[in-house]
Amino acid sequence: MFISKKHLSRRTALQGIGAVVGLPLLEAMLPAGVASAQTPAGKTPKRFAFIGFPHGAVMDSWSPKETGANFTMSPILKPLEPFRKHMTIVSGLRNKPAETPEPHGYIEQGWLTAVKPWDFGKANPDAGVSLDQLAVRHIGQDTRLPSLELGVGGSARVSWRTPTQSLPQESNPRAVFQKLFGQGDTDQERAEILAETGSILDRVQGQAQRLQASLGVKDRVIVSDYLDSVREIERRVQMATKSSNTELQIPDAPVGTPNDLTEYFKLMFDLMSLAFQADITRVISISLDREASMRTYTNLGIAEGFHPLSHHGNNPQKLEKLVQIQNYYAQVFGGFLKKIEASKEGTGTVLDHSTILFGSNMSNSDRHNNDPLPSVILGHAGGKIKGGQHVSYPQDSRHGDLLLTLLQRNEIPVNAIGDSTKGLSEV
Amino acid sequence: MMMMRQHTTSLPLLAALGLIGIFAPTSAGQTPASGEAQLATVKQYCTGCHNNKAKVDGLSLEGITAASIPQNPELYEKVVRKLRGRVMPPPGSKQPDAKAVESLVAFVEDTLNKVPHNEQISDKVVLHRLNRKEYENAVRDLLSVEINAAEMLPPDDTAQGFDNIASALQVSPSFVEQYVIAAHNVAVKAMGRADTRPQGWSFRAQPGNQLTHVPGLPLGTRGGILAKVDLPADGEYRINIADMVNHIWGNSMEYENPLVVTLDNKVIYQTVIGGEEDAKLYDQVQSGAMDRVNARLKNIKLQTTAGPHKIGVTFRRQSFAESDDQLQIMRPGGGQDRLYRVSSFQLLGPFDVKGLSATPSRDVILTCNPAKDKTKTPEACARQIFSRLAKRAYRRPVTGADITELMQYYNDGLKKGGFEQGVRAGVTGMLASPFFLYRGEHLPAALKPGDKYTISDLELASKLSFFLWNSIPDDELLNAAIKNQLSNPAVLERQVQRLLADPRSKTLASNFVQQWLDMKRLDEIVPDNDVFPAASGGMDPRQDFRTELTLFADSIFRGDRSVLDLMRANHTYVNERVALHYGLTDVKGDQFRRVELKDTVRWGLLGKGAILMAAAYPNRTSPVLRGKFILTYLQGVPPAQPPPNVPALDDKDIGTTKALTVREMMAKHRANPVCSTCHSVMDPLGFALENFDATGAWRDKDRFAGTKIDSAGELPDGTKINGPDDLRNALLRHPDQFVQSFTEGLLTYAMNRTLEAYDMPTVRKIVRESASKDYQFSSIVQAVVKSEQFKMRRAPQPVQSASK
Repeated sequence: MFISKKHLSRRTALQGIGAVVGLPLLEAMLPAGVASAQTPAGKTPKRFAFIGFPHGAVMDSWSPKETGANFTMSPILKPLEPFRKHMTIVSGLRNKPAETPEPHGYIEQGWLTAVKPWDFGKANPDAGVSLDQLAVRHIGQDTRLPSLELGVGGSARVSWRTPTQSLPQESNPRAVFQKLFGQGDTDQERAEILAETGSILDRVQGQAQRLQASLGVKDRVIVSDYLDSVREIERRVQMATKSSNTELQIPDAPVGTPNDLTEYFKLMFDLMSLAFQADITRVISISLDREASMRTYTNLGIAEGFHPLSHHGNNPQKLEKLVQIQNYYAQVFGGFLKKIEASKEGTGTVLDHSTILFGSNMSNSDRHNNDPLPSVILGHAGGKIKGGQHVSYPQDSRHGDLLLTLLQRNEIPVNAIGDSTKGLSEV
Repeated sequence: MMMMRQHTTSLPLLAALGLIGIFAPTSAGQTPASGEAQLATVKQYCTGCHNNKAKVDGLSLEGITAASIPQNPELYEKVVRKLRGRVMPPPGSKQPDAKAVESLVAFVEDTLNKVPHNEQISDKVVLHRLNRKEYENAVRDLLSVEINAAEMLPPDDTAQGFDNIASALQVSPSFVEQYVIAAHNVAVKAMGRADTRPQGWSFRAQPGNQLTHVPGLPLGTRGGILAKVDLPADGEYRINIADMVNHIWGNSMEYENPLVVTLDNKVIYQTVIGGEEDAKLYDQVQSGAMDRVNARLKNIKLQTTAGPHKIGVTFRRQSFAESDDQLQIMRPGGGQDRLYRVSSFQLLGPFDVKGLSATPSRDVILTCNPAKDKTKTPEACARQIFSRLAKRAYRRPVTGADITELMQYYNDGLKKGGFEQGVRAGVTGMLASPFFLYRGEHLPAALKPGDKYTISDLELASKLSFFLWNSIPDDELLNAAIKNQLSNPAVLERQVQRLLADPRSKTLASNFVQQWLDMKRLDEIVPDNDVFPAASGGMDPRQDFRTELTLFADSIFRGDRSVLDLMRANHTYVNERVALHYGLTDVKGDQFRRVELKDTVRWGLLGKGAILMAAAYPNRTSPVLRGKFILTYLQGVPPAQPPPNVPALDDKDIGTTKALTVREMMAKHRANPVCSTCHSVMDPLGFALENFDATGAWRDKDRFAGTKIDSAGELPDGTKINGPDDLRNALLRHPDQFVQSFTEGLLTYAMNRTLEAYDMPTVRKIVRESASKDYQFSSIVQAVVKSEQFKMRRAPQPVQSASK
């Protein structure tokens, strides 16, 4: 495994972030079998997921009425009831430094940066690097993919590796699958490719020896190097053959993007949970829709475009439909939580060790404001986040403080994000 | 290490020795005497600085004698390279006259040419892994299947700017794995598979507003996507086009956009998006209207066969009124902002597989098919197939052991899925074999270390085809080698001419020239949208410029013209976009065609967009980069690296806000004495091209300063030049400088190793001899092929613990 890591960084050095070479079978398959060996004993892996949605939330239906542990679950968050003890609802925060008069296409950029796009890089060279990528700097090297950026139906600019480079979101589930698992669409295909690779490596060694016999000494050294590489791959094939049938079930590769929205969401969230379970990456961000999206949620019986609907003008029918969409987001997100909660890891679950932010960088979509923002944390950062409570902050408390808190709870040494320099002790 | 190109290790010794080859004397044909007179020039003009005490730049020439030169060829190759360019003594110091320099250069070169040595004949690593371009071409020539190796294989390391240098082509476990997986994928692609699952392919549009025709799509269409795809089986496929009606206010509904889907240039589906009906639907029904319109873009079914196909999704072109928006956003291109574009589409399938039809690659592989020819057993067919393919793949006669191995693969596959799967397994094994992936030059038996010998005909055949075609030999070349005919110089010469005339030799233009001139740099020059709205984003000319450069170089090579025509030819290849960029108004359409250039400033490489852009910044020109480019590639005298801690150019005058021209900025820079020595030589070359902006378009004024462009300059010998024509003519007055640089590149590319000091006598010989043929391209290629570097090897010294 460490070998594949080494080669990944080599490739990265060679070609930067340009075209990515199709992932071969073994590099993709090995982590699944050896994930638990990755982290030194006694240390649980830290994981982050950022689940963002556009057009804010109907705040009356988002925030519970009561604070503390005994809150009544709000209409929108109802589907997350089973995860009550893992959730920390954080109310009242404002993302003031990221507020822009020009909302669409910009608002999402400030969610994880707490800076407005045209101020990126100004206050300091890292202003505008998003929270997920700050985390990647500290934990990204431990996994094959430093991070994964996903979009459902489009690409939003949420994740910023540098103040000038946003990471594109992949929205095609097949492409995501291949990024995660490489060659072979089915278990059977993967097994066939493995077997074929095994026999090729076997015979190649004989051929290389024949080739070697007729060469000069220096050329023989090259063939020896080649043979060493062949043997190394042979060893990996044997490991992969052994490990491919254990614990984790890799589904068949999706054909493409499903036309059915619920199926699409499920597929993307399934791929996310697999990426965590197989320890292929520990940092994922996903946008559930784009700002100013015209998607029609016909599966919910809503035939209006999402964006015009979001300018609700306090029309009760429109508000009701928005609550319905936001409640649906909580539902599909809940499916993901269920999977990672069921995935045991050490003495806990993958959910226990994760830090997941579910929210939006908009509050009232009729007015495009960022105050107060809807934010819920799921997971416990390996025990550092208590969970099971609703905390509410006074007017003008900083969203950046929440972002900083998420890093600090994971012992990632970052001291400032946006206008924030301290965390939220209550979380 | 010679300092041929800036990729090479820098030379501390001669660092800051500069530049320039423009005033190079021609050394050809003169035989200097004892050298006393010549070396007196050194004592008179050089040792003032380069003496044992001062040792400026670490160099002393105090003890130079006719006898000391042969003892240190590496050093004196560097010295003579600089002398040829008359860099030293530096501008401003006392100068010897031209005759004296000429005579000195001739003497030193002549002395170096006579040094007896053998290093030019390699005893070094010659085992050469196919790089990914060679792999791609070899697979195409062997199996008639087009692949994009950049998507399958890791990138190759380069040396001296070339990606085919054997010693740089390392192998690691990751490489082995990717080459094995690539073999599997290529075999599946070439043969298809009847048991395939449905798959998905996504295709995205190029940036831009899709108002003009996309090359390859039917005439009379605008915009859209042309996708090339290899399908795995016959059957039903489905197309889903990305939603079009998702504009925030839905107002694009107003206009009709007649959409067509084509399969191999035939229309298989058409619909209209927008127009009166749709607009009404949107205005009156609202809810669900967009879904109803977008539904016409989904689930478009088509029946087709396995193999390569072209699928187009585009619009019929209609007339339209210019949009008012053009007045607001000041963006060139014109058109109608409310027309739809195809942003992407997905192809899914095959559903309901019907079988496998003939495809070019299946025809090439399945030359014997037991299903059709009952007289043959499957096993006999497999043997026949492998014997034919392996000979070309391994580039030698096949042995019994080869066939035995391939039949083992065949039997594995046969057991799992029958004859075809067996053949596929054999093809996979063949492509993963080191005999395919490595070019080896075998050591003849009974040689003592250091013995020279000529490589075998078979190895020569491979070397020749990888040099001239970047791919494997064809049957004719291979058969000539098998019959040992290539040892006959007349046959070899004929084969070289044949290979050069073949279209496959286009790789010399598309691959060699691009690498020699470091055109990879173009990737990084993303034209600045604010400065060049007409040459950025969807109108970015770089790809077209690359095409132009390839076609231009190919016309010189395959026309077998003088390589000097690269510098001076009065023709080029343009499509409408490049033509407009060059100010030619009578070229219409996307197709590239040859045009005669009336405007002399566009003649030769100096007038080509690719060159002008690659040696500029994304937002402004750089006379320094252009000067450096000319020196490095067109003159073969790379300038030294600048010293560390040089501040960047300041584009404002200190204490004022007046914008400076690039010339004024550079003048400030040259005021710094550390910089002036080199820049006073380098900058005038670039300034002569200042009328070409950073994208290669002609301009009369500096955009920011608003002043007229001044392209005047003075070369070190006092020659006044003004503009590209003067520059080109000055360079052409010493043609051997350009030809030497070209030959150095070509020899490096052909040898698959880096160029060293001991290769220079050969380079000079090739240049000298081709001069009598006006540097005709084939005369240089023939001389390269005949060189010891290309054809000969030495038996290596034994290395301890060579094999582990």
